[in-house]
Amino acid sequence: MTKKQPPHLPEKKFSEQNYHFWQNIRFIFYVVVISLLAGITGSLIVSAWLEPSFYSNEGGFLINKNYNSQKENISTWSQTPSALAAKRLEFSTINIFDKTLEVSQNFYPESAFVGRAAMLSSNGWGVIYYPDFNKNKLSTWLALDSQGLNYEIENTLFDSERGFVYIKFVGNNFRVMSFPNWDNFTNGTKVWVSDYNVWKERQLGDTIVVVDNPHKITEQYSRLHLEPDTKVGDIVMTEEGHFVGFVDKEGLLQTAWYSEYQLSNLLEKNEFVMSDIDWVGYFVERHGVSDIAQTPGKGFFVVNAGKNSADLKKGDIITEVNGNQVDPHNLWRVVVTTKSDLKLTLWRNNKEVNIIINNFSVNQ
Amino acid sequence: MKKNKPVFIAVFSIFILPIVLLVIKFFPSALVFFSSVAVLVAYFSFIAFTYNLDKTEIALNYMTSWSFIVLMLLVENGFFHYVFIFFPLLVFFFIAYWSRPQISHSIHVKEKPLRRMMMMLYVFNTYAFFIGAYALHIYFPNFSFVLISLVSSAYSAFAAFMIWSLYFKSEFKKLLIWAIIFATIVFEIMWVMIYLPFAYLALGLLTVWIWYILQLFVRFHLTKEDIVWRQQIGFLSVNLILYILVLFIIRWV
Repeated sequence: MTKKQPPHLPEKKFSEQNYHFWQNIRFIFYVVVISLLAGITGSLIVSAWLEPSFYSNEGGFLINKNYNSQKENISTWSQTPSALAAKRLEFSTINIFDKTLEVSQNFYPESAFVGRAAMLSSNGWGVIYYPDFNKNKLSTWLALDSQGLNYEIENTLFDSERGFVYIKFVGNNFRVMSFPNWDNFTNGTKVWVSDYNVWKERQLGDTIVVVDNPHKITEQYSRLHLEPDTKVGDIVMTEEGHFVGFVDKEGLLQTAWYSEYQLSNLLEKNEFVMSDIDWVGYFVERHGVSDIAQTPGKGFFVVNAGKNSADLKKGDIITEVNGNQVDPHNLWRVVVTTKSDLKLTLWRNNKEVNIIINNFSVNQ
Repeated sequence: MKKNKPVFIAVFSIFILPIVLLVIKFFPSALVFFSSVAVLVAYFSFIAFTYNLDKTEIALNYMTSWSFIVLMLLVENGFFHYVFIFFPLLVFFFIAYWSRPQISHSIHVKEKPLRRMMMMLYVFNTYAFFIGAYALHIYFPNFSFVLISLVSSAYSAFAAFMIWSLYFKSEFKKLLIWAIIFATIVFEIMWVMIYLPFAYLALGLLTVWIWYILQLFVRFHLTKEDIVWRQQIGFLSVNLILYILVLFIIRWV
């Protein structure tokens, strides 16, 4: 028997219970949609995290999916870098083309590709390997990002010692490259190199001494060879997408360590701050037994003490810098980066002598 | 029982962040940085536990300090470093004196101008936090973005919660549900944003813009009047147009 409507009340048209029910349904529906979206997103994230190859960039122009690593005797390595590294190269570089080689509107031959500038700062500083640079070349350069946007060049700075051209593009909010831990690069380290559209996995090989004797103490002493073959100007990155440097004319790795070191000067002053230490010499090693106690095993033999270091003399052998024994491969970095005074231990006239050199810096 | 903050503590609270920022600026080393940040955290924790501080003041002390440190580290223009050193004097003066609850007012919601200023501070803090999060991802690609986005979404939800609590009293449970929904949305937005080819400053702006509008509409929804869509449609349309426009021009801003 149904419950009768009391005669003194109006006909029942509104149910509070129904009202709350439909209110709740709306909320539940909203929560279900949000949960569903969150669930899908979460699943995709976790699966991409655990199995990135499932979401490989096959077909993307940056990845050479046909690249056969077996040919290069590195068969145990994967054929493409991480998706993160590929994305990073795409977002954080600007391609330079020679616009004089344009064959039709916006069509260029492969030879028009000058190189890839790695972005160093969000306000537009990038770096490219181009040892034959002169300012006249700039008028022929066309700078395009991965989306085809064209950027004007505002300023350039040429580091002839390393063959790096620092380019200031007009613009802002550029995605930048990150740098690796430089101490991790030794023989056998895996890296990825890329030209315009092909990735290749390579390894760091022999350490090659690149200075002539005698040489300035601040000159880079050695570089690592990249194996097997590489192309001049190829950009070198780690698996994670850190920017390592470029392949130079001799097939050696020209690291971007110096770019990272000078970046703050580039941003603040639009120029490099150079160490004024100009000692010239070469590395020597002791052979045979010495009668004198504390005779060092090796050091940097000074041929010319330069203009700014009166305490250093021709014929001195620098054996320690700031308490650390000299390492030919790293000494130049220690000297370049030390902003305070340099404490030197010398071998002079068969005696150990300690001196302090003021390390001044000059703008380039 | 906790006591009220003496004047010298309030004054020192204004100066401690600029001092820390100056130290970070002129002695750039990891050791100096972590030590300075540790001193700052220790100081604000000490006054939070010792004196009778409002929860808003405690939150703003930590959040605003972190924001200025992040901006100091990540903004490349040297001129702005000095702005970030001196501007906190004004901001922390506001936090130390004006953000305190007024006992003379029976209702514990803030006066409108103060509420607005505090809301702006929360928006600024959220923006700076997003910038830091994206920068962490860009400079340290090995660091898990899942973790970065989780922490950022929690932070932004907390900031939204703090803004809503300036307007609504004693509705913790209701606000908490919205904060959780909010964290989910921000988490997903961040995973979209990293696929835009911009730097961290731009990504932070684009994320906080959406966050701001969302928290605003949740706030409207929580009022008795609910969202008056007829009034808001124009606001939303203008924002949508501007947002799309900014996506195109942000490279040259």
